[in-house]
Amino acid sequence: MNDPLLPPPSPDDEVVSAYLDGEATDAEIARVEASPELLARVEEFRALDARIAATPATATDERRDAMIAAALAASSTSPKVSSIETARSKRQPFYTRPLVAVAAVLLLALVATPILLRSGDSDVGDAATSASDDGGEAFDEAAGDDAGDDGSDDGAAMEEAAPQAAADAESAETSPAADDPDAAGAAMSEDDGSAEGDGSAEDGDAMAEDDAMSEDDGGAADDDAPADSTVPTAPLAQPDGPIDLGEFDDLDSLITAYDDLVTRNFAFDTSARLKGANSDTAFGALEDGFCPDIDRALITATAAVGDARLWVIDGPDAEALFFDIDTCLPFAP
Amino acid sequence: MRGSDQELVRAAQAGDQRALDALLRANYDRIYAVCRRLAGNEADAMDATQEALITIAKRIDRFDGRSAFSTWAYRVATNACLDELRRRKRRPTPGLPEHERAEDEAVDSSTQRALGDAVTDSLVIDDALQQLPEEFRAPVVLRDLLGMDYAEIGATLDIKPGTVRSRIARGRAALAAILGNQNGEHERPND
Repeated sequence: MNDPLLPPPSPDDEVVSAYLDGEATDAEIARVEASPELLARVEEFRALDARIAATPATATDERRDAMIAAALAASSTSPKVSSIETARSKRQPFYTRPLVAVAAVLLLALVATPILLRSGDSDVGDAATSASDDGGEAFDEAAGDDAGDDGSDDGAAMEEAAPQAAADAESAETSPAADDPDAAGAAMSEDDGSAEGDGSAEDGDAMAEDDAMSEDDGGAADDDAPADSTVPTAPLAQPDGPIDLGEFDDLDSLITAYDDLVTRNFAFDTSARLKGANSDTAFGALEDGFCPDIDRALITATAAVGDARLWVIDGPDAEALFFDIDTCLPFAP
Repeated sequence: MRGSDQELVRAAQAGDQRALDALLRANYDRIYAVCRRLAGNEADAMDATQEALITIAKRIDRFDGRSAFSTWAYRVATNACLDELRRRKRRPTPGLPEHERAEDEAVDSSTQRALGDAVTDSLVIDDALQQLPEEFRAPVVLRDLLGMDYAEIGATLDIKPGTVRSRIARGRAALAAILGNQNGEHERPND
């Protein structure tokens, strides 16, 4: 390397350095020990080494304990760690979610427009069917089964069906299913069987079927319910301290809620957290009896899962770590 | 590997969190010191140390016991620190003009006097190390802080022992020059 700061390679320095480190050959040792200049250089390097080796001041005990606690929680042998990444991996990127809302609005428009235009027309069923054809299976799903597809010309039947479709569309927009981006892309999960129980989503309706949400997500409908009821939908301002996420039936639900919080640009700033660390929290447990291994500055939220009260720690690599407030240990559901 | 370490490692690999806790605590100071010397400042060192501890904890089940646990842990930690620091890309540019570096220094000269000589010297060393390119800094730090031999350093940094020898020699020579100059510049008139 020809860095201007670095002196050019020096055979003497290399021998001296190797001598100092016990890595010199016998011939090199003899050469160094026969030269006062090289021995002086040895002493210069030795003094330098001592200065480098002087251990820098370490972090406070509290900080060290928090770092070790976070590492323990992330360890390969810990079965009790919950990772926000795991939750995220089961879901599509949040940026696809607006498509769900757009799809829902389009669906609503497709349903409502013919009805409004032909509200006095006796051939409402045809209109509904037409709308369904134009709008895709979603409409069939929401309204067609009740009115259009059975060929009924009964306007009353259609009027029943239309609100249902609107309701379904609205539901799709606001329900947990809408959060699942599969809904927008109609990229349906193969193991979507769980959607069948949902009356609004039976056959190919992307919007509803996606709700099936997948796999082991535990059923997103359940997962998201607490999130939507406890987490503001708008981007949040930096809090003064840990934010209370509320109560959850299970850890998956909490992870989902926290995931939502994070994806709403809830940028926790470490320095701000430090400043706000002494503020009151949901459980008021930060002041006294604080878990010695958990640095309060790392706590981003509190929550309850069943009877357990938890700290949520925003760990490295977007991992959310959950600690039982009462035991100060990683939460074991 | 010492017997007690062996037992702790086995227990940690079996899922004993207390054993893993003990292992991390036993090596924390050294890991932090390495990250601090590599990072050159407290904030980056803390983040890098956290990353190193997590990496060790995550990979404990891969440790096969062929070396001392501490050697393995330092190797993992060193690379975790270097990776973290590379991600941050916040290393000062080598050869930055003196007046710009002075602005970056967290501790001004009057504060330095208030601090102990050891702390001050540590900052001076940090500053000097940061002027070295990473490929020269890391071998010197691993040698002087951890006492690794050239083969271990080579294995840790994935370079040949001969390269380690050359880089340590050039790194030390550069540091000696930097610190020699700084000692002259920082000399207080009344001292």
